[in-house]
This record gives sequence, structure tokens and C-alpha cells, in this order.
Amino acid sequence: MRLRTLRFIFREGFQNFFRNKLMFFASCAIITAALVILGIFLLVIFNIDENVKALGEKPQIQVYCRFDLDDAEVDALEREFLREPGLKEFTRITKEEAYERAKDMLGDTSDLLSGIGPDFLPVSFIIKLDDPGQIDDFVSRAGQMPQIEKISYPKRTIGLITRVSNWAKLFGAVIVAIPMLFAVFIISNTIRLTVFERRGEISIMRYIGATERLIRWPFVIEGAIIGVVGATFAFLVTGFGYKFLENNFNLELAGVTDDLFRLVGVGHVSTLLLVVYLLIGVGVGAVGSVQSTRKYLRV
Amino acid sequence: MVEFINVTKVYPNGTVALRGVDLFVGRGEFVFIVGLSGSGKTSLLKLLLKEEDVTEGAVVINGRRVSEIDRRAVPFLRRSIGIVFQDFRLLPRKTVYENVAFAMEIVEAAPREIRRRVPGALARVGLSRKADMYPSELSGGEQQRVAFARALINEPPILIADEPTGNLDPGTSMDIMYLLYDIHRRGTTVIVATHKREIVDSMQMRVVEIHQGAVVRDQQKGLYENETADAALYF
Repeated sequence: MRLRTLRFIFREGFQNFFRNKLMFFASCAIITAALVILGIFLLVIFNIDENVKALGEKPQIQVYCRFDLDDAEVDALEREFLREPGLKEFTRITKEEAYERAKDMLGDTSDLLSGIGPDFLPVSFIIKLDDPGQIDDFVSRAGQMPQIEKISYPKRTIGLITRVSNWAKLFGAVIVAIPMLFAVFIISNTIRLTVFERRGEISIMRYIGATERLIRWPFVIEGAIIGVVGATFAFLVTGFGYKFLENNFNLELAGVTDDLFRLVGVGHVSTLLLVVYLLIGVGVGAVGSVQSTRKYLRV
Repeated sequence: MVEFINVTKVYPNGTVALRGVDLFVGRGEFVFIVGLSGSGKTSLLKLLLKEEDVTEGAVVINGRRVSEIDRRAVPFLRRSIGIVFQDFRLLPRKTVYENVAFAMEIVEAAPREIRRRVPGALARVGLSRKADMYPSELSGGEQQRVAFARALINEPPILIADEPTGNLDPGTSMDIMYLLYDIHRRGTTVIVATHKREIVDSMQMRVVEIHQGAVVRDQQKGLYENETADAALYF
């Protein structure tokens, strides 16, 4: 395609866009709404995914040994655990370390521990697995060991998040497709209306020998502009909304979920959102235009 | 240059628009196509532009059968035919200059060439001073002149005018016809579909009369009406 043809197509596309400002800004608003809905679903899925990943990084299982085990028995138990497949990390917490941790945790009220020495606390192991989904199996096996007093792990939270994550991944594409189809429908109709309104102009172009490409592409550019403007507004709305949530709800969530669930920082999601919005906005705008012009522009 | 060979056109609803039309228009000729509304004049022009396809027979332009032209090549056929309509069909949001330049942009002409040729075309139709005006600011005759400038800017060998004076008063109509005659004199083949008796009678060029889809008269230096025809038939 020649440069002058490209310039013609872009000039006409932009002129078309600004010619019907009211109609196009109304369309942009609807596209923005559709993309914001899409963005909310994306953010939910993204956050669940990131948090499940983050859970995998946290100490997931704490295995407390019986108080009466001597060092040799604890060593033997440790060797037994280290032979477990799928072990990502293994840390031994001695009685002394457990005592220091307890003091740190109690903070100002650490005098509660006065008169109690490290010997009153059990040795424990903090264990991370490669696959958080294997936790239940691991815990049931470890629970049968006579040397184990207690096993602590965030069973309900992990189970819930894993289930929600799987569900979200499974149905995510379907859920995301709904607002996308909605956006395609809106853009198609907007372009169709303008094509219909300008059918006289199009017929003139056909009579004076314009190729389909020269007639259609300005509409495609017009659709893409609607997509870009809609995507930009959607990005601003979602970005600021998410920032507000992040600032206010992360504190609240920290108290409720014991820091197991946090909203991913806006900085991490903004690039994803912007790219997805622009790609979908421009893509949907262009596809919508091609669809709506197909019928009217046959030379 | 333009030839209709035993052309029949039947629309999908069964209407027979043209039946067995044989017509030859040579290079540089000036032809009036006359006839009642619905007689088939516009169908004839639509076949030339490949807006419709023949049902039987063939339309040949410059030795090439129009029916054999691929859909993607239709714009290039149309670039060889300038067309002017009764309702001018100018782009309302473009100035006079832009309307004419647009026809060159469509054929992907170089900007320098557009800047060189558009003022000349506007001068030819007497609208140099109105280049920056919009169609709504012009009279009917002026708008039709812009349409002529646009039709001719790419120097097509054939010009088709479908009722070019239909919306104009008699004085302006004659101006437009002088313009058409001037275009013809410079070598362009001109085909004018009209039902304006005074125009046809005053110019006395070749007249092809169509009645109920068939050519009933083909007369050099003819008048609008055959002497034996019933005048009331056309009004």
C-alpha cells in the first residue's frame, strides 16, 4: 500500500470519527463500560492466580514434634521428611528458635513467657511443597507418624482458593467472552449506523472508482479509534478504581485472611490491563467495522 | 468504444428493463438517450457501470466485455467512465476543491498532481473563485458544475450524465449543456440520459429513444420526439 493511500485512509478515518462526535463518544462510553466489566473479571482471575502462587511461596505446613523426642529422634524424623518427594523447602525450628519467635510474636506482652523456658516448646519443621495441591496427601501421611504431635496448615484457605482458582481458570474464558462480544456488537452497530447514514457518500465513492479497500479502511480506522478511546477511558476507570481498592482493602483483608490474600499492586496489573484493553479495543473495533461494512460496501 | 449487443436485462422480481438492445457509440460521439421514466434509460447506464449485470447479450467497452470483468476490477472500469447525476451527489462536508480532489485521491494520484490539476478543472467549469465554498453554499447549476469537474478530473474517455439538468432551471440547464458540448468537443464520448425536450431539440445531436426496454429510434441530429410520436407520452 502506498504511503499516500495510507495517509488518505487515516485522514478519512479520523475525519469520520470527529464528524459525529456525540454518537462516537456515546459508543466510546459503552465500549468503556464493556471493557471495565471485562477488566474486573480479568483482575479477579489475575489476583486469584497470583495469590495461589504466593501461597506456594509461604510456609504452608508446620509439623510439631512430640515434646519427649530427643535430638537423635528429631534428626531421624528430619531425615525421613527430607526423603519426601516434592519437597521445596524444609526448615527446622529448634526449641530456642521457637522461644525467640514466641517472644517476638507476643511483643509487649512477652512477660507472659517469664518462668517458661525453651524446653516447654516443641521442635517443629516448616515445610513447603512444590505443589500446594499435594498438601492434603502430605499431611495425612505425616499425621500417621507417631513422633508427630500436631500439624498446622491453612487448610481451608488453601482449599478454597485452589478451588476458586481452578473454577476461574476453567470458566474465565467464557466469562471474559461475554463483555467482549457485547463490545463487538456495540461497535458493529455504531459503524453500521454511520455506514447507513453515509451510504450516499459511499455510493459516490463507488461511482468514481474507489476500491473496496479505500472505502472500507477509513471505517476500520474509525472503529479502531473508538476502541482506543474506549480502552483509554476503561484503563483510567479501572486503574483508579483498583488503586482505591488496593489502598483501602488490603489493610482490611490483612486482618481477616491473616495476610494470605492480598490484592496485587496496581503497578503489576496496569501494564496487563492497558495491553489487554488496547488489543481488545482496537481488535474489536476493527472487526466490528469489517463486519458492518461487508454488506454495504460491496462494489 | 461502447457497444450493447442484443442486451436483455431482467431484474430478480421479473421486471424486464431492457430487451434485445443493440447500440454502438463510437469514440468521441455525443448521444442523447431519451424515453419515459421506467423505459430503461437508467438500467442501460447501470449496465455500463457494471452496477448490474446483463441477463443476456453483452456490453462491450473498449473491446472488453463488461460481464467478464472481475468484481475487484470494477473500480478500474469506473475510473474510465466519468458520471454526473441529476442530484449532483457531492460530498456535503467537503469544499468544492476537496470534492474534486477527492476523485483524484480515490485513484491514488500524487498530491502534487492533485494540486496542479484541480485548479485547472475548476477554472474549466468556471468555479475557481468558489473553491473554498461548501456545496450547500452553491446554486444548483454551480453544484452540477462541481460534479462535472469531479467527473472529468481523471480525464475519463467516456462521460455519462443521468438527467444532468433535471434539477435545474432552463437557463442553467443550457449552461450545463454548453459545458457538456465543450467536453464532447475536446474528444470525450458523452452519453446523456434525459427527458428534457428543449435540451435535446436545441442541440440536435444523435438521439437514441428507448421505449419499454427496447430501442425504438436511433437518429443522427435528432429531436427529442419523433415527428409521429405522441407528445403526451413523455409528460
